[in-house]
Amino acid sequence: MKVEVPVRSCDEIAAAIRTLTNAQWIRLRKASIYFAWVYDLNAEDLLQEAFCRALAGGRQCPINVDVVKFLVEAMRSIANGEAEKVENQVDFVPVLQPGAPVDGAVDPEDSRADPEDDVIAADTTKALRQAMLGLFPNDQQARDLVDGILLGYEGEELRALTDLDSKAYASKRRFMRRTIDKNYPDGRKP
Amino acid sequence: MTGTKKERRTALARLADALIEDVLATPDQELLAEFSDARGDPAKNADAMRALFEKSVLKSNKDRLRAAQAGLAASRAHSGPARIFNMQNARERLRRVLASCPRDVKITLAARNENELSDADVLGMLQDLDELGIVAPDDDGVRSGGSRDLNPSIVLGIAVVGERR
Repeated sequence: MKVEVPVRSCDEIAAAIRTLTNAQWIRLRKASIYFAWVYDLNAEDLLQEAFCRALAGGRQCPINVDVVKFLVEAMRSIANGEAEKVENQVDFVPVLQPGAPVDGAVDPEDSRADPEDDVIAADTTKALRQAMLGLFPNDQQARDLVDGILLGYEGEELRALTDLDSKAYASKRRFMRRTIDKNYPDGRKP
Repeated sequence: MTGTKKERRTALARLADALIEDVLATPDQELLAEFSDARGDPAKNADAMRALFEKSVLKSNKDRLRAAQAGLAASRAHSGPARIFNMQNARERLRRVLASCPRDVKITLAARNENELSDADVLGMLQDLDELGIVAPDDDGVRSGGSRDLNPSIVLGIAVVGERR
């Protein structure tokens, strides 16, 4: 039988946010930067939107869920939604009457598949992989870890890929994150 | 968006997930030391983030106020103009309905003599009957054989009732 977990009211969420520790604020900032990097958004805007949705009661926060994790999931959902909006965008091509004067200079972006776009994106994917691997030129385990993540390996599978025990794996993953953070402090190359 | 662009985003999203997973798992002290080294005072960061949150609270309150105002405006727009009732016909209609409605409803509603009821009571009871489905919203007496009894030229009482369904 499914047990219903009570949820925090909007006031309780606000109170919990107001009492976040310095470390928890750092986690939130970092998460917003990572999502902004992936979805090409502004990190502060994303975080602010997550706050607003939490306060508006649009998302329920069970009392047994950590508020930071709740806000991270809210950011993920908002960022995903924004990306889907762009992906599902329908292009409207203005139909002009023959001979009608063209007023204005609006040139709507055409988001249809463009072979040239594909080449650029493929290059960018390759460039992303190369850039990430380039951060660990002499560390094969870190390179395998990055490669595995980019290819979609998770959990135990990913750990097995690196031939590391749980502790060493956690330590390698932390090293990978710190290296990426150092080289991409705001999700971008400084 | 092309599949390739999506693939790139998916790959980057996987990386971000791994980074976030690690950030959430990193002990507080390690995270604070790391932040101090790379970006400065964690307390200042917390202050800036709290300020952003308070800005969000303000924005959220404003949004709620605007939504409430829009809701009120929409409800006013839907409620339409005041309805004009001929109270004499309304009383007659109530008598007719009560005479023909089920006994249990009649006992509940006709506890008092119709003559003792105020105009507001009569309209209220008609509205209750309407809500109970005993009288159709626009039943103006046609069902009981009379002609439509709302005649704006014989205005004996004016009442504003809530939104009609």
